[in-house]
Amino acid sequence: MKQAPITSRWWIVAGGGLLFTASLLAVGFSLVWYFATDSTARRQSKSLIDQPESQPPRLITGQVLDTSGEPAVGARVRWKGTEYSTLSDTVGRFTLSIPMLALNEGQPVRLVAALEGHFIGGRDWNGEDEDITLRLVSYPANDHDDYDWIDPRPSEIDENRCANCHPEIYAEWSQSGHARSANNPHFLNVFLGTDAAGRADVGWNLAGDYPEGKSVCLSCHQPSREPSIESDGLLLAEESVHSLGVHCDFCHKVANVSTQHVGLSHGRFAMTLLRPARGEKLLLGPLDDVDRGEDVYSPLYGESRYCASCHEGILFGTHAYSTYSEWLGTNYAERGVQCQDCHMANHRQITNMAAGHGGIERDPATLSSHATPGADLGFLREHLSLEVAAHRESGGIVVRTTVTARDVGHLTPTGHPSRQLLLVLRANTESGQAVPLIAGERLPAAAGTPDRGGQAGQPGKLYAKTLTSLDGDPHIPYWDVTELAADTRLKPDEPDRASFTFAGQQSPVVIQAD
Amino acid sequence: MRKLSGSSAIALLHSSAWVFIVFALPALAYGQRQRAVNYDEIVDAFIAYDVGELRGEAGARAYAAFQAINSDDAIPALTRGVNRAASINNSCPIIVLSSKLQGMLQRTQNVDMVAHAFDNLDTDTEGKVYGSYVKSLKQFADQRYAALTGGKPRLGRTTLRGGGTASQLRRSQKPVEQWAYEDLVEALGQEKDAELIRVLEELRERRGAQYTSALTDAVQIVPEDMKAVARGLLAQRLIRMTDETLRAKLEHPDAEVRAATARAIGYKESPLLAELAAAIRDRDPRVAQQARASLMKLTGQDIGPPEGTESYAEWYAASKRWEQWVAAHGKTPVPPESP
Repeated sequence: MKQAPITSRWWIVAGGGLLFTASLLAVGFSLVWYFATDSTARRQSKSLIDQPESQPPRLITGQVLDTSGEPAVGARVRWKGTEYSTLSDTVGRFTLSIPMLALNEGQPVRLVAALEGHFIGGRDWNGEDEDITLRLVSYPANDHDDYDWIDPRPSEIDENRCANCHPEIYAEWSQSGHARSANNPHFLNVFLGTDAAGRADVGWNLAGDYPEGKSVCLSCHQPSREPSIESDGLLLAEESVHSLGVHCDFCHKVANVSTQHVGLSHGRFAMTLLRPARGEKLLLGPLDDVDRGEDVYSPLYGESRYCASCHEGILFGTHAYSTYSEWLGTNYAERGVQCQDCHMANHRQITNMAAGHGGIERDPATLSSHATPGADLGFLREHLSLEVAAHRESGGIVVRTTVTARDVGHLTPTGHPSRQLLLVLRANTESGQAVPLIAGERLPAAAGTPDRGGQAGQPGKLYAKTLTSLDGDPHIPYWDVTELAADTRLKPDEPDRASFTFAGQQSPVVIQAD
Repeated sequence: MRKLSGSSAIALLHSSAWVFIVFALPALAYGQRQRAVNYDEIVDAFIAYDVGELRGEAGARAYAAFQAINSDDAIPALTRGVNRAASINNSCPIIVLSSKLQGMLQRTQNVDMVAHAFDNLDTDTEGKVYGSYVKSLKQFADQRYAALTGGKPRLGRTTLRGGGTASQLRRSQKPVEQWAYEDLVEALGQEKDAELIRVLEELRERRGAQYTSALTDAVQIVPEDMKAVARGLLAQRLIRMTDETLRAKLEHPDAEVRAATARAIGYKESPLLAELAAAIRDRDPRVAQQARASLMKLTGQDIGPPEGTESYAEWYAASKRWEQWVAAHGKTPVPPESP
């Protein structure tokens, strides 16, 4: 039988509407992974054996000593800004091999050494043959809770501001979810019961419904605030550095994150902070060759564990956030793909962290983006695919869909339980008349009832973690007593296939999959 | 009926033995029985609900009973609840209980209850993760007491003579073998040199998972020159564990524990060769290196990766080679060759 022509078009609309009507339609899904090469491996990708045999490498030998003058064992010794590095041995000695072709005559090689518990140290090597000594200074082990957080915003008065020397990184971060963790509309909607336009008392309202619990949010959304009964509610005054949410100085003061009580000890409560005494500086980070005397190398900054305490949470009895444990359950964790490998991949945008302020040109693969994408449509479109095929059968028009989350190291959507991915199918005649669905799924009540702008009842599928009240109401905030009614989210790299049959028509039918 | 308080409540939290509370709650929530409300039970049940252990109808009853608390008589139980919540390292309960207690202290006119809260908020929780909550709550109780009595704030009256914390005073009065768990943990951040080693050795000897955790945390807490000592003692402690336990600990989220476990397996010549081979591809290099060292010790083989290898891909490949070797040669350690 000759088949009638069917026009099909499809695209993904991210987010979903529940109680927040249109506001949540723009909500994306955070923490989407793609498989990326480990930055450490990339850094070491150049091979020293590429050099001509006639030019043996230059060997630089020496010793790394700690604060007390004892050999520093296992220190990373690196030619700053390059992939050429080695480790000090059990007596602190090292031999660094550098291809002659890589050396620039007359220019010193900056040698740096990094070791846990110490500031990164360095000195110039000018081609001398004798051993050189690199001395490391240990950093103070005590955290100072009277520390004054550094405001990241640019300032002509305060030269210490982050953006003054790192404008590109600051610009990236400013667009990130971290920069808006305390004041983004979706968070404020839930926290204060407002809608997208800021009107009060229109939706869930943690501060109003459960005032005893409102400070629970702060350990992740305003983590630099000193926790106490006085830090009650949000601090949104613009002059406060806390209003900037997860800001630069906070992140770079995290010395350790415990996963011993993951999900139960939230945000900064699971973190060991290392804030220096007043007048002193200390910054932790993933680079092992920044030797200004105030920087500390920490491999933690390349591990998913760093993210765990804010992206896993049992709150008010509900396992509301589960991204970290989802990742642990995937083969991405087994393969060693960390959160940062995807959400902080530089994509070769930045080559100098502090251009004009002492920064050096670097292989962009060794630097991190601070935009931390995840909830934006562009990032989602990279990782979500929808395939649609349609044909006529005797029973009607059969539409088969395949939705896949590719290179994503957790379930999709992840994060806040109100996030939903909706597949909505519509079949219309050319004149716009709806063609009825005769077989296949319809969106459940959790997709939002039509009177609230939702899609329930439409042909389609809901991908979501659906919480309900004990009597089955899906429109319930997680600070009420909840049950996990269904978890239909997409598993990493596992296509979800569905079939929908619409009533047969002689005239052309437009199938639209959103 | 058994009263839940102090360490018994904490033990319940850890063992998830909530059946007792589940049965007790209906009466507590709705007052259907003719007896005094046991606020300690309500608070304990709420904590269990809040951390996700008490679900469904029982959880709903726990939540409702807690929300219904509105009597000054509950202040002592809330005070005890704050102290307990501050010690179990869970964010939600300490914050919610503190807020609840603060609200009740703000509203009450009962001077004795305010004084009770002030006197019993446990300053020993200072220095712990949630100590700032207890401290600020104690200050609030102090100010509230002053406001109610027209007097001056009393804060400081429980400060030890000569300074120091209550834990330091207790420790000075007993040998380390008699120190409480909390005192041992606090000592990790205060003692030095030989005294610190004695504390670490005591943690190695004590029975119970909490001491394993404490010794694990100690690796992070102690000064740089003592970290190797702490790591070694942690591995020694793990030697006592069964192979089944060691297998589980190779999956522990804390890399220090995994590395120490890999070391312990090598020490005790455990037959967990396949598990060690898998651990060579652990993302944390400390674990991977220790797993390789133990495998070399147990098998007499060296099939990589070479010393100093940094590429994770090479560690991963070596892990697979070790797994193949173990599959081909059995899972039992090779005894040292006879001279």
